[in-house]
Order: sequence, then C-alpha cells, then structure tokens
Amino acid sequence: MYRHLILYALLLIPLGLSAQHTISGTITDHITGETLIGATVLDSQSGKGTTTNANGRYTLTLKNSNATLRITFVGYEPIYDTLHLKGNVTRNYSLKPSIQLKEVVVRAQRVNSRESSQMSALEMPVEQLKAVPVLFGEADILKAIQLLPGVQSGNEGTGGMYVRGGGPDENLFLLDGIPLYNVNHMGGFFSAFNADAVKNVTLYKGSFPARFGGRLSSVLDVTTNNGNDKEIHGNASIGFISAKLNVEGPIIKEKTTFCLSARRTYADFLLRPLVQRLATDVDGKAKLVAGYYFYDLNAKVTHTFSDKSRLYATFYHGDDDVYTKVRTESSLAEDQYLDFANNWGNLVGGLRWNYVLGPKLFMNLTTSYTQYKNRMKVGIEKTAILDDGSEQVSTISGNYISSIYDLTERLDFSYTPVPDHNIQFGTYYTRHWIRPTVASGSIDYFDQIQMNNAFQMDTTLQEDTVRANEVVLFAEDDWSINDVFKINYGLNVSGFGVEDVFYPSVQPRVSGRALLGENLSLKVGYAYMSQYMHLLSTTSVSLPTDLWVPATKRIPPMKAHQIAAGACYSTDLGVELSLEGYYKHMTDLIEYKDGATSFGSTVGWEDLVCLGDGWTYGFELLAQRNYGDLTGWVAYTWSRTTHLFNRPGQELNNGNPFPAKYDRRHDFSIVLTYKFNKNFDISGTWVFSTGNTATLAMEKYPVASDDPDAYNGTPHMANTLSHVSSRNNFRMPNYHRADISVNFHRTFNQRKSNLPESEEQKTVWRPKMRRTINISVYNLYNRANPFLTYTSSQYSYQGYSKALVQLSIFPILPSIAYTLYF
Amino acid sequence: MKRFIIISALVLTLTACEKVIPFNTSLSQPEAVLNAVPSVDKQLFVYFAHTHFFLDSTNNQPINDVDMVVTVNGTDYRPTSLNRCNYFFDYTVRENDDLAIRIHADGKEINAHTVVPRAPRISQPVAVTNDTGAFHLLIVNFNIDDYADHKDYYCITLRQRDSGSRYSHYFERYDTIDTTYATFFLCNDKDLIDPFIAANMSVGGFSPFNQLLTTDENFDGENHNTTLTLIRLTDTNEVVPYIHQYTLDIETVSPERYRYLQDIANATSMLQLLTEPPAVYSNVNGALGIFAANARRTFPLITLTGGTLPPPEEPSNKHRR
Repeated sequence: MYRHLILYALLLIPLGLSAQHTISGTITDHITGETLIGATVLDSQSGKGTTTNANGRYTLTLKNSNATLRITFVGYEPIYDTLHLKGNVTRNYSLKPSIQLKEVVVRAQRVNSRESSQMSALEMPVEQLKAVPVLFGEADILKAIQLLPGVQSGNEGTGGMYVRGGGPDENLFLLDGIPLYNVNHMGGFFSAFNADAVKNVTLYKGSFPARFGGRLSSVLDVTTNNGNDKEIHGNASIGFISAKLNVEGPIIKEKTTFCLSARRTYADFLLRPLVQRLATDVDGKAKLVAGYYFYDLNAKVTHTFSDKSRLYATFYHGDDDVYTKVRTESSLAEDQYLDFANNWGNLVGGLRWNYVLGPKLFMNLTTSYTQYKNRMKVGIEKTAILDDGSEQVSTISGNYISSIYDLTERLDFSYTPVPDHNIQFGTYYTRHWIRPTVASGSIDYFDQIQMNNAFQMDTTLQEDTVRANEVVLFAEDDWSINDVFKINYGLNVSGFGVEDVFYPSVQPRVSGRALLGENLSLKVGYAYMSQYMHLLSTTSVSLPTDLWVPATKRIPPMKAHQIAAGACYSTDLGVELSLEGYYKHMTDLIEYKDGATSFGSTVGWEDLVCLGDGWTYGFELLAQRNYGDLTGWVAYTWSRTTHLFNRPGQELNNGNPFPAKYDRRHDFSIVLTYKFNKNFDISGTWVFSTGNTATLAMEKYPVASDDPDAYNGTPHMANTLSHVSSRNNFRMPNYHRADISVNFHRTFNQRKSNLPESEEQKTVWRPKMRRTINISVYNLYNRANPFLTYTSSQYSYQGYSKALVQLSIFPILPSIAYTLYF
Repeated sequence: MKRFIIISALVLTLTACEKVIPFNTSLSQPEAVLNAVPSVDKQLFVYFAHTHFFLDSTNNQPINDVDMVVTVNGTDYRPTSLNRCNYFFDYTVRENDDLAIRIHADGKEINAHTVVPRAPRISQPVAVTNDTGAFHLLIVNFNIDDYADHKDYYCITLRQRDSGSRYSHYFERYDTIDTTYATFFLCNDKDLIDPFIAANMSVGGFSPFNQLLTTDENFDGENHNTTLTLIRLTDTNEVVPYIHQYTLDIETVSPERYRYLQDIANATSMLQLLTEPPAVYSNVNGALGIFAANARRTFPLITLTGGTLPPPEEPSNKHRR
C-alpha cells in the first residue's frame, strides 16, 4: 500500500510542475559586486515573491508565462523587469545605490517583517547598527544588538549577551556560518565582530529555523563582506583606543575578490613608557611592566568559477593579552619578579563551496575549524648571584589552560520545488576536542645561602582531553499556504556522543503568521532546543576564568522549550510596531556550587557544578523605522527569570527558587539617528534597565572555636562567617545612560566611476576619497552606574561604621575617531 | 614610588568613582548563633549570641532570657557562669562523650547533638631542616596509625607560635609588596588531602584556614607516612625578631566538625571573590553555627631563637591571627 502511495506521489510531482517556470539568479551591488542578502524579488502580476539568501541567490517559481519583476533592497534603487517565460531562466540583477553616500545613511523602502513567517527574528541594517554611539567611539555591532528588545547586556560596559532569560553561553554566534566560542574582547567591553568586515546581521531569539541548533536562547548570524569585485577600496580609521584598516577588492577582476579587516588597540604602546617611567627603581630597573591589548583579523577570499559555482574562504583570528610584571624590592642583590600573564582568543577558518545544481536547487559544502584557547600564568622568579658570579634563577609558577577545538563538515541544500515552498535541508558533523582546564604548577627553588640545595616539584592536574562527536540532520519548509497564512516548520535531529554515552535529541520547530489586512499580522511559534556545550561562569562579568565544558556522562545537555506569540503592525509613516510575548522552560542548567570555582581547583569541574531548571517569561515591544532621514527604534522589555536547583545533593538556595543573576524586570532603550544632510548626521541613545541582582550576605557571625578567647577579639575576615538569607537577594541600583555621536563627512573630490559605459550607468557617480570625523560622548550626563559593589570602612551609613559602596568605572567619556575612505 | 601612587590615584579618580548605595537596612534581621566545640580535657563552654549586621563592626550581641541545658551521657548540666556570650559548664570533656544541647530563646527551641571523637593515634612527627636561625624549607614526616575498624577525621595544622605571646598564626602570609614573605604549605600525598581543601591549598594557601583535612579511609588498614613541606620566601639574611616555635597540631574531629571545617576553608578562601558566597554547614536545629567536638594533640617541631621577646601588650608581628 505504502509503495503505491509513494509511486503515486512521485508521478504527481512532475505533473504539478509541468506548467511552471523558475526564475533564479544572484542579486549584487552594482558598484562593488557584493552579493545582497535579503533583497526582495516580487512578481507584481501574480503577487508572488521571494528574498535572496545568505549567498545573494533567489529562486522564484511562477505558474504564469508573463512576469513583471520588481527587485528591491534597502538603500538601493529598485529594478523592474518584464519577462516572457518559456522555460526556466537565470536572471542576475545589479542594484544601484539610491544615494551616493550609502555607507552612512540608511534610506530605503520598508523592510517588512510583517510578511515573514519567521517570528522573534530581527534583521537590522548594518549601517544602522554601526551608527549607534558606543564606548570610546568604537562601533560595535554586539553593543547595538544589546539595545534590541529581549536582549540584555551584562554589567556596565560589558559584552555579555542575555537573550530572553538565557545565559551568556546560550547564544550561538556564527561568523559566516562558523561558530565562535568567545566573542568578547577586553573582558566584554568590546566584541570580536569588527564592524567594518560585516555585511549582514540577523538575530533569532526564538522560533529558531531548523537549520540552527546547539544553543538554547539565540542565534546571531553574522555574514562578512565578500569584497569589491571591480576595484580596490577600503578605509582606515584611528580612534581613541584602536586603529583599524579595511581593504577589499579584486584579485582577478570579477572572478576573485578579497576582503581584509584588521584592528588593534594601542593603549599598551601609549601607557608602557608612562608606567615604566613612573615605576622605576633607584637602580634604573623597571619596577612594573604592565599592559593590555587586543587585535583581530578578518579575511575572506571569494572565487567565482561560474554563475553556478563559487568558493568562499573565511579566516578570523583574535587575541587578547594582558600582562604584568612587578619587581619587588629586596635587601639582597637579587632580582625578584611577580609575573602574571593572560592570553585568550579565537582562531577560525572555513572553506565553503556554493554550487547551483539547478534553477530550484543549490547546495553549500562547508569545512570549518574553530578554536578557542585561554592561557593564564602566575609566577615568581628570583635571580640570585652566586659566589662565582653566575646567576641562579629560582621559579615558582602556576599555569592554567582551557581550550576547545571544533572541526565541522556541513552539507546543506536549498530547494524550491513549487512556488509556495522553500525547503532547506542538510546535515553536519562536528568533532569536538575540549580541554576544560589544565592546571599545572612547578617549583624550581634554589637557595645557595640558606639551604645549599634545591627543591623541585612539577605537577599537572586535570589534563584529560574530552573528545565528542556531534551529528545533526535538519529539514525545514517555508510554506505559503495562501495569501493569509504562511508557516515555517521543520525538524532538527541531533546526537552528541561523549564518554561512551550518546544523547539523541529530536527538536521540532514551527512558526507561522496570519495576515489580517494590509498592515497587521499575527504570529506564533514554538521551538525545542538542546545545547551540548556549556559555559561555566562564576560572575555576571565575562572573565577569562569562564570555562567551556561539554555535556558528559554525568552532565546531560541543557534543553529548552520556548513558545512565543505576537503581532506586527506597519504604519503608513513607515514605522513598524511589534509586540511579542514568550515563555521558555529550561532543564538541566548547570551552575557552580556555592563557593566553587574551577580556577585553581585540583578536582574536576563536574564535581564543582550542580544541575537545575529555570523558566523565563516576558513581553517585548519594538517600534522601528529603517528608512528616511530619521531612523532608529524604541524598545521595551518586561521579563522575569527564575532558577530552581533542588535535586538531591545539588541544592542551591536551600532548594528554593531564586532570581537568575541576569533577571531584570524592565529594559528600555531608544536609538535614533538623524541625517541633516549628506555631510552631517547625529545619533543618540538612552537606555534604562532595572539593576542587576547580587547575593549580599547581610548577617555575620564568628567561626566556631574550642578557645573561649577567640570570641572576644575584633571580628575580621579570618574569624567571621557570612550568612546569606537567599541567593540574589539584593538588587543593585537601576542603570541608565545616554550617549551621543556626531558624524562629519566630507568628500575630497568626485569622479565618474570607471565602470563600463552604458546608458543606465552614466548617472553613477561616487566619491574618490572621503573622510568621516566621529565625535561621540559616552555617558553624556555622567551617570554613576554600578560596576561592582563591596563594603568599605571609609564610608559610614545610617550610623554604621561601614557602608555598601558601588564602583563605577565609566564617567562621561568623550572620544574622537577619524576614518578615511578610499 | 610616590609618583606612581599619585598618578595611580589620579588615573583612578578620572576613571572610577565610589558611591554609597542607599538601601533598606531593615531587610535583614539578626539570627541566633550556637557555636560549641567540646574539646577533650577542656572545660565545656557554649557560645550563644545573635548575628551582627554586616555593616556593624562590633561583636555579636548576647541574647537575653536563655534557658540552656547540655546533656552528657544522659546527665543534664546547666551553665555555671557566663562571660558575655560564652556559657561555661562545670564539666571537663572526655573521649567518646555523647553530648546533646537544648536551648529555649527568642521564643523557639534550638537543639543539636554530637559525639566526642577519640584522641589522635599518631606517632611523634619528625621535622627536618638544616638551619635553626631561619629557614626556607621545613619537611615534616609523621605517621598515622590506622585501625581498620574505626574511621577518624583529622584536621592537621602547622602553626608558628611567637614566644611570650598567646597568639598563633597560620602559614600563608603575604607581607607588603616590598618584602615578599610568602609561605607555601604543600603535601606530597594527593590521595590524603580532602579534594575540596586541596583546591584551596594548591593555589598557595589563599585560605586563612590553611589546614589539611583528611580521613583515614583513604589508607584503610595501613599505617600512613605523610610528608608536609613548608617553604618560606624571605630574604635570606632576615633576622628572626624573636623566638618562633613551630608546632604540628593534629586534631581528630567529629564528622560534623569535619564537614564544617571543609566549608570554612571554602568560605574564607580568597577565591570567594570569584564565586557566590557559600553556605556553611550547620548541625544546629533552629540556629546558625555548629555543635561538634574535637581532640587535639600538639607536637613541637622546631624552635628558632633569633631575637628578643616582643612586649606582650604590643606584639611585634603584625600578621598574627
């Protein structure tokens, strides 16, 4: 019976397709040749349309033999094309920027998320994200994303991202489809994404398409520039703390392109002589050497074999380095140094082959490698001059290394069999090598005066590498049921094998929308997610001591169910309003036991953690305008996030529910950019959020002793214990801040583009060189927001001899940056 | 150095600022604390008081109208004297005593129970060092005599006692940055050390409670030799200012005290700056604190005779605890 049904279905498919014509192709920028992601192709006769994918490709299947296509994209002039279809055709289109200074202005027709079946997804124009004023004038896409509804940042200035009550490890950061484990520079003050290299950013907060998996709370899909395929261009920028260079162009004209972006901070160069000068001993030797810097490098090479075949090579490397070396005084003729160094960063490489198998089917074959490593070294080095004049060095050192390596093979397809279905399916396999922590210590101690002998010790702890295999199969269909209903449904089936155990997971995903009239749509979605890699974090601030650890035989994967529902309304003024509510239930969350940390521990991390559950719910409001002289958004989020760790032997907070450390009731942000003219624009933000939670031990009592006199001394840290009534029982003061940024643009000269002459290209002019001066002020009204809190005896409060004090690290901070475009 | 401090202060002033956080102090209410460590051959006493608010630098406050009874092997004892918050009983603790306490205070009943452990079965430790004026390396060997039919919980502490002074202090010490004076306390036997305590010890004794906690179940039925190594990083020509006596304190403790000490070592570690404040174990129903016993033996190891005695009322060593 089943065989008959299958045969019948196979016979019907070609019949159903016989009268259809498929138009497919690539949409690019007319000036640079860069593929455009999310461009719209609409047949005005049938009303059918589609958008380009991450490769800039589109496929549109029509039943009628005549079509009038309208191709549009944010910031570009539309193209109209009338076709008489006799069969499948390939049509590539190049869109011209609608204005000359497209880099600094977002001016386009509406990007209408009302019509998409996807909910809880935000696709913001990169230029708008780059215009958001940030710390030290350093444009940061992740910082701008944190101003969107449902997305929260960590403490003051930090980059930890918390989406819908999820932890900072529950976000999947994809750079050209390759996962990045650590996206923070400078402890989270800056992100790893160099804005100059980024072409497109999409954030999914829920109702995840089936092609994504491995994280509970969000997917941030970042696509980098392919590079200009006609001539070399770029920009160089120098700012308050960093210098950047971005160059792109053809290697073989209209065949092979490159895009190279590099960035480095230089505070260490500036401060090192100052520190050395201020901390120099009488003998001229430096007492203190200290510094910090980070750098990152993005590179991408794209080669076009033919219209059907392209190869992309992506490379990213970013590192942070902090170091201090303190020379201590000694009454002997010896040098003694205390040494601390910490280095962490990502290395990512990927090769993707994009091949068009037919007008309705194309594929991507990707090989990628990602690595994250954190190294810390603490040591004491002592140099003694022996009687014979030779030097004898004694060292005591501790090393701490945490690393993770992934190698992934991925094959995915996009298939449009009929006009109303867009099917994506594929598979990928990842081999993980994880070394959560390797702590080692060594002592090589020699004392020629006192001991006349040496003492040596060398030990390494927790050295084992965990090897794991992750395999995923996925399929999803974006189905336009009729003019009202559209649905995206799919299945992600994954498995994780580690330490002789295998964790299978079947994750259904579905989201849909119903159009109610011209301007209103309703949406609903559900997603089940599973996460096999966890970040063990001790505080809400991103620290190098945070550890990436895998699910193991003892620690199962984290899981989450999320449902969401909402409405989207487009006004005639070009403002898009959206309201979404969500509920997410999470199981098998892991947290450190009270008082535990892997840093310096000689026991395995699995002994330091406990398992629990959590739930979060809330609603999000967004009013957004993406085109015109005034652009920006207003966002508000109300949310509540609770954790419960009550499994036997793994209780936190005595087994009672407690608010998560990133639980905040209110988050509000307003982001506006106004373009006065082509030479001047201004941006401003104001953010408000409820204060972070913290655990505050408000009662103290003495340590028990068998000596009665021990209770009569003055209480101090060594003989006093803290009593915590409940976890996260204290809320820090509310956070609010305003930033402003002003851009002055100037074009040095203009010349006609040297593009091939044609009638429609005669009007294309562009600047040869121009510059932008950015003046920004962070924390405009000098709000003292809490970075951390502690008790201090230098203050008194309500008759007590001590006070609870907050430390604020960023007062009003003006900065200036100069960018030259060539 | 002065310029360094001035510029550092200037930089901090420009980039950071402190501000008192106003908050409702009535959010917190004091709780009762019962601390008692009945120790073999010592007079029984119980500490009972209220906790103090964390911004308050004064001692804990006594509790009024307390009705306290300690039952020893079935016999009830009541306190015979009170010194501030310490309640003294006319009883000297012995090995294997069965102790229970009941207190009525603050309108509720507080109770706890413990059994006194037997005294440590341990041989005289042998200390090895080749200098008696000042030393950088001290190796201590001792042997725990184990009996397979009995599980003992040990707390082992190397102590330095100042002559003429009642103070003692533990071995992790960091003086000013100008004169590094650090001491590392190492154990050669990873199996012997309680894993959680080892975590603190391995980073150079960040915990003020730098004690070695162990049980004899790790070497069940066999005598166990242990070596402790003490390394001091000092200037090699440092003159010991007055007499130091180094001793090895070995306690057997009741299981409750053992668990309590585990938590104490964790709670007072400097690593706590990175973590959530840990809860400390309590076997007291209705109050904070611990009711747990011990038996202590102190073994002299080495005496350094380098200088004169400090004035008793103004000890010269600023690092004592």
